[in-house]
Amino acid sequence: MIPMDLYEEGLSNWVENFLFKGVFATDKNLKIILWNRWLEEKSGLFSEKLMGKNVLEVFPETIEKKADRYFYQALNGEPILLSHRFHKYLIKIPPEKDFSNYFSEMQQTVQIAPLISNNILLGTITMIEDVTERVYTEMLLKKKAEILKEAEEEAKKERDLAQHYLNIVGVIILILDKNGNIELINKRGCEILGYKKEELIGKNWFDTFIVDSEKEEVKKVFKGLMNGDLEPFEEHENFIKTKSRGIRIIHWHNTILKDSKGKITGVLSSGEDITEKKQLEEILKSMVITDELTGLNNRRGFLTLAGQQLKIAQRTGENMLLFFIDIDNMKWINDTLGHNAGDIALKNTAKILKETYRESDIISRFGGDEFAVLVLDTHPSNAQVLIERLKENIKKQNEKNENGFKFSLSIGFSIFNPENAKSLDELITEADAMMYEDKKRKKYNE
Amino acid sequence: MILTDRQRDSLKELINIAFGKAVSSLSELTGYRIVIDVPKIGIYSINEIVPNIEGIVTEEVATVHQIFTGRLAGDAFLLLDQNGAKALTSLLIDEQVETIDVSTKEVLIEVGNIILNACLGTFGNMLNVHITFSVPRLHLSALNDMINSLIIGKEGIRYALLITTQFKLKGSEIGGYLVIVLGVGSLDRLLEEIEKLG
Repeated sequence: MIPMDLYEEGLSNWVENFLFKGVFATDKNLKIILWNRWLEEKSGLFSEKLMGKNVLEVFPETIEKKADRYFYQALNGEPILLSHRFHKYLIKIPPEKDFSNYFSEMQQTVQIAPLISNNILLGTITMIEDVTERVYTEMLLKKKAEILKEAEEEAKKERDLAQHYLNIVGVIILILDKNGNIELINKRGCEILGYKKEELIGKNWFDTFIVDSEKEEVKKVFKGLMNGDLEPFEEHENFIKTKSRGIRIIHWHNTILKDSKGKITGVLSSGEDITEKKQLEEILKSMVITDELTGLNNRRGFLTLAGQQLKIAQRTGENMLLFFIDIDNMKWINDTLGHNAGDIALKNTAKILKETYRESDIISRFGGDEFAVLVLDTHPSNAQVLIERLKENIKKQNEKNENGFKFSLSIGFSIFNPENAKSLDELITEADAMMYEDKKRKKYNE
Repeated sequence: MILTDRQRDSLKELINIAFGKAVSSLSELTGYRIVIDVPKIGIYSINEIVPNIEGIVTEEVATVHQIFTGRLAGDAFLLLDQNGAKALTSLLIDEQVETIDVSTKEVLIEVGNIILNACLGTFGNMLNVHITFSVPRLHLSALNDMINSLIIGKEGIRYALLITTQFKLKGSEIGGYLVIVLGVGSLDRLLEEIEKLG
């Protein structure tokens, strides 16, 4: 049997010379009895100089830091752990060169324990661990984590903002992939189409929403765009089938999407639902009673106003005359001299009619090259006078020779007699028939 | 093995003082008032220890574990649920702790050490018994595994005295348990010492 004290000596020899941690021990009076080689190397203080000296006297800072109590606690039988976080270090030792820019002392975690043998308290033993590198790494990690967190927060803010814009914007925002499947759609889009977002993502746009009559054509165009065969058009309108709102008319703005290599990946479109706008346009159109070219009443205007006058005349017992007038050879003018000349002929006719009739009479472009005039409150015998005046004005116009062609009108009229009241339709038909006779007669004479 | 009422009362008083000392040291460290329950004391067979401790803590725990030897030998634990452990460390270092890294572990060990030293030191002083104890270790595992390994490590344990108490830092989410497990040999000696006191 090898005596136990040999093992003990081997053990303390190893601690003294080879352990990669700082170890020192004291007796009960806190006089240093061991200071290992690691401590010598790191602190530059040598064992011979320290032996037998009181640890608190050699390192007065321990008292300043109130660390002396830990030694007394250890003498009282309590083991102590001093974490780096609270204490930074116990014995002032310079840090490794690599860390001297960051720390002025070696960062330490320390254990102080009672030194006991055979149940007898001998003194204290202290182990110092250099945790500088670890603390440095933790510091870096923390900093990185902070930077990462900040970047994440920033990115999230941007995402939230973009999502917010998508949600509040009043148009459909739609992204289709190369195959026409929905990749993104905003809240407004879901509302108009009548589906939930989850139901829409991945659905084929053309199969689901384009009306059957347009589907194949639109698909062909989209394919051409995605292949790069067709030049993208920035705006277009089409009909789409929605779940709850029927067919809607959407006005689209499109942008072709490309990846970083320039390859086409899909299309981003914003779509405005213009269904109501279109309907309103139709309604407005139906409310217009003026002919744009001549400024006279149009057919609708004439029928409305003349109808009203007929009712008034019946009550007041007035006579009226209805003239029906047609430009001769209008087809020839259009075909030979062009539509511009046709327009001039129409405008001239309007001018002549305004010169011929009173302002209170109802003058209209009835349609095409036909004009209708209702002369209010007049005697039937005036009809011939008015025809003569009209012909006179035509003659004057032709004398100016602005048009390069001879301009003539065919004229017919009918008489409204309140005692034997005819309807507006009857008056028009009668005047039209007479006008036609006039035209036929002129042709015959040519 | 059954404790007489007298033994139980004396033991409770002793434990109350020791745990009270532990808790007041935690109060000093944190600046919070601490509420502590009356300790529960029981003698259990080794098979019953784990279910009994598990019953009080179910979540992932951070356990500061300190072994003590001498005439009285056993294990002392400070059990904190992991969120409580983070909150406690945050409070002590005045900085938000997100993960339990090595430095945070050390802080917990130091705190656990102070608390358990207060407890065991008082225990020893009152009984006039010399107790030697280790520097504590921190376990961040399931409680079950740790207790099991502890029991396997000590062949001598057939029965154990289990002392538990719950504490809470007033006005915070931090709470935990103090647990002492004594082997039956130590238990006999503990009762002897208590008799002497009486």
